[in-house]
Amino acid sequence: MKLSDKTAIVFGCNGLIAQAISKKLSKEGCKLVVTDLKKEQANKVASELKNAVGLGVDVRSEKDIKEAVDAAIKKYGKIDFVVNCSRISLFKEVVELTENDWDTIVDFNTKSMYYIAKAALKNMMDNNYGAIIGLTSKTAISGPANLSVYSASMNASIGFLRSLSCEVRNNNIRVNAICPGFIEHEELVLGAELTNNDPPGEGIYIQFSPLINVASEPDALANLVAFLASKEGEFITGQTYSLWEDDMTGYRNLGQMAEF
Amino acid sequence: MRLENKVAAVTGAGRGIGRAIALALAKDGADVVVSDINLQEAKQVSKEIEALGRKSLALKTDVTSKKDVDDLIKKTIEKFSTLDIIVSNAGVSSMEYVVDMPEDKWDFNMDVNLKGTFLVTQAAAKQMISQQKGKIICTASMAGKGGVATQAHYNASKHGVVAYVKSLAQELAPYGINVNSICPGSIKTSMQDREVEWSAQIRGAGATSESIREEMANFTPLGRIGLPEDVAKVVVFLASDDAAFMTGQAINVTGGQINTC
Repeated sequence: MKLSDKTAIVFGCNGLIAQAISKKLSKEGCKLVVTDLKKEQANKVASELKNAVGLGVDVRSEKDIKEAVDAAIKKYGKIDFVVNCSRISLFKEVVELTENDWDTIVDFNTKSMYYIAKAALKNMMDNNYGAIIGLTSKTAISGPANLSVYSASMNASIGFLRSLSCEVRNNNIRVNAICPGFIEHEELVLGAELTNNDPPGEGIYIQFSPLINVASEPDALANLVAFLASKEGEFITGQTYSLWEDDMTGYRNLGQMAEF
Repeated sequence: MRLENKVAAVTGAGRGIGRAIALALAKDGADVVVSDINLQEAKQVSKEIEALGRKSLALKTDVTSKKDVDDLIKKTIEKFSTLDIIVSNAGVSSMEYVVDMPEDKWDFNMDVNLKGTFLVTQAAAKQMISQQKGKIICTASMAGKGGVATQAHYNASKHGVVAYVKSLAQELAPYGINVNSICPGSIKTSMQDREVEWSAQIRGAGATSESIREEMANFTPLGRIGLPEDVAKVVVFLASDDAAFMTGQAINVTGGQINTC
């Protein structure tokens, strides 16, 4: 077990990827606090893991995040890793986007990174140890149509994490971003819910490559997160990772690529 | 002249890079709406444009206000009947470490630089779709690609602009509208003057504004700090038909500098 004396908080544990990450960290011996906007979901994920507790956290609330960090320190004595998997998405043209759509998505996806880093850094700096990992998106790099605010928020998160990695380099704290290659059903559901838009149909998600294997990517990403958190990844910081190169974002009819 | 009979609007055009862009567009033939949160400075630039023999209009715009932004497009159309070129340039910066960063500084950078870009380009896009043509150019930054300590919020906002522009370019391509961003490096402006002062204070240990400037020039392979006009020339190119087959790009104007820790 690579992470047996370690502790982590996984924010936004509802999606397939976040659940795979939580499972992998737990399997490697990491003690966990898992949070979700919906407390029952966090509890459900926690109940399936060893040494894990669930908490209801709205990542748009600095107070909620501070409380989660304090709870983790109280329970486990320290925080070694935070993984922010809080993402919501919205498939909508720029000309149709409302200010509320914009603010809700940027706050949930990007401002959460700032709140979480700020809250966790103090303990990590005291310990002179830590890793911060942000789940962003391949759309941050490619920028597909009808996903402008999502892409903007994700690349904004990457920009934030890159700068942060420079700031905490001398504190032995590593900061990296990973970029999943598909947009999860849960992100679209919660995105629609929080912005009062129409919900996506049952089971709908968005993929950007005919080759991506949605069934296997969550586990592959979880392995990458465990690697970045582990001793093997202790000299890696300020990096942005995705798992594969091909991308059909520029394809004229993205609608055909989306599983709508 | 590449932009004769074209109508352009530039936000944050009262000073610095925005002013240089407005003047360069006018020198290449465009009539220019000069928008800034500081109306006095906008009026001054507007006069300089009229002195070049072009038509101009000065407007006060807070780019975080949808009302102000919609007003900018409306008044542009009322006066000039068309909008061929929009340059979303208004931007701000501040410097602080994440652990000490007050929330209002996060909001200030994200709201002006990123949300402001959304509001300005959305309003312009609606007009340009009805025209089935147009050029949208956004001022991002070298900070839209790399990372630097004490500006995590600014970096976030500018990375956001780079990605947003790519998405917008995909959406507006079917209407014949080009959307690109520019990424200036170290450019001599009042924003840089402030950042140089802050850097010297934060750095301490004998750092002075002179030593910081020298360092900036040394980090730039072409060996000097850039001028607003260096950036403006690239914007004119992107606004012209010379760049007709470019869209969704983020063009570095950095003298070869790459932003790093």
